Amino acid sequence: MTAILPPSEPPDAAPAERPGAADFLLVQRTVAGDQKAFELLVIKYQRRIERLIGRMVRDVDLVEDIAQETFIRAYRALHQFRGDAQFYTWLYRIAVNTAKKALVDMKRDPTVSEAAFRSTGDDDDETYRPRNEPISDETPESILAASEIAAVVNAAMEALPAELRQAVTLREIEGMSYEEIAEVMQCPIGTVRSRIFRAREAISAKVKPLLENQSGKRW
Amino acid sequence: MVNEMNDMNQISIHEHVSALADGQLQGDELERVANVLCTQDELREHWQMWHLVGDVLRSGQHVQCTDTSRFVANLRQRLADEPVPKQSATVPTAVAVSKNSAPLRVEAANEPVFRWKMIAGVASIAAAAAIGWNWIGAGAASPAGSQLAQQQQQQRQAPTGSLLAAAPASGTIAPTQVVVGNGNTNAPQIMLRDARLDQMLQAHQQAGGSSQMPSGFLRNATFESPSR
Repeated sequence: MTAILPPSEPPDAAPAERPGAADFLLVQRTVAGDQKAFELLVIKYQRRIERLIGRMVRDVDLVEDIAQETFIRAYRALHQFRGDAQFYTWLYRIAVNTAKKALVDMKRDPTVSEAAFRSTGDDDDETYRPRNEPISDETPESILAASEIAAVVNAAMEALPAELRQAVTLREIEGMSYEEIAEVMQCPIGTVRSRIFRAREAISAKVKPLLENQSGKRW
Repeated sequence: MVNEMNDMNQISIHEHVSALADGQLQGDELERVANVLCTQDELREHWQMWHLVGDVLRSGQHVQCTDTSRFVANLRQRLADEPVPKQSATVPTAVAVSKNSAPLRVEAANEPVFRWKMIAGVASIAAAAAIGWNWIGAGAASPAGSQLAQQQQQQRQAPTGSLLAAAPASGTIAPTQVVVGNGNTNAPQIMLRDARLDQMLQAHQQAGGSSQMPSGFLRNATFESPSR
């Protein structure tokens, strides 16, 4: 059996100075009893975890159940997360183990799914690009909705002013930090922050009406 | 909370949440924005939307997933039955663990074995106490014990005493003549037996006959008087 490599670890740094400091803070708040903080983490990572599980089980009916179980397990073990690694690295391992267990329980061969998982790409870093994979439960409507959302986002990106488009591209696609973007664009970090925010708001304004039609559905 | 809201106008809050989504906030600013984000549902919607947009931008296409709102609602229902995670490691190990802190007593994997040993020890002590109590109680009352001792003493004295008492003082005993016959011969036959043996058998019959259960073998072994 070939091992699934976890996402790459960030270099060692004090928790407050790490890129994952925000996640760690949300973990701390959850452990302190703030369940909404955990929901923010779920919102942030649910889609990535579902994609990861979808590569292993390839059964859309199971993906959501396993993803739910993954987050439940993470919630139970949250006090063990000490911020030594990225939260997604930690969550990734829980998701892989949960999916493997589900496959074993179903008396399937997990090695087959793992091989398929490894051949489809790498979901380890922020700039990962998932491929379009056939999923058993896809309907023409859901495929259309998904492609429509992607088209609207891309169209909204094209319509952005150049400085906003560049800023959000460097951040979302290239994965640069605000400092790096400020250096590239030769502007203050505050300006970078503002440009990225405005770009997001402009794109969100175009996407939001589509999402309201898809509320509660798989899309 | 109100002060935090006053510190940042609405656009600034959204901008800070956007930066938080990118993991670009640190220190007090991070804590303040996280605090506001956890309490305002409207900001949560932005949080969700921005992560979706980022996901689509990174992938170049939209991969189908469960609707996030539905997913979170289902998870919330399941989490309602879950206890709050233990608050033990909310800070990094190097900070959280103090060298002077007392070690927690962790139950050993074989803890039940010692429990059973303790139960066995208590049971042994209880059994010993019960036996001792019976022994002390029997020693205090002891009517049966004394009777048994007296009986044993009598039995020790009886065989020699009875035989000696039954024996004549003269010391010479005449042999007993017993007439026996098997029916095949016309003339009766006379058997001479040791008179001392007859006395001993009689004494034995008197002393222990009543305590023995009658049986054919013992009856055959006992003395039958010549008169029969």
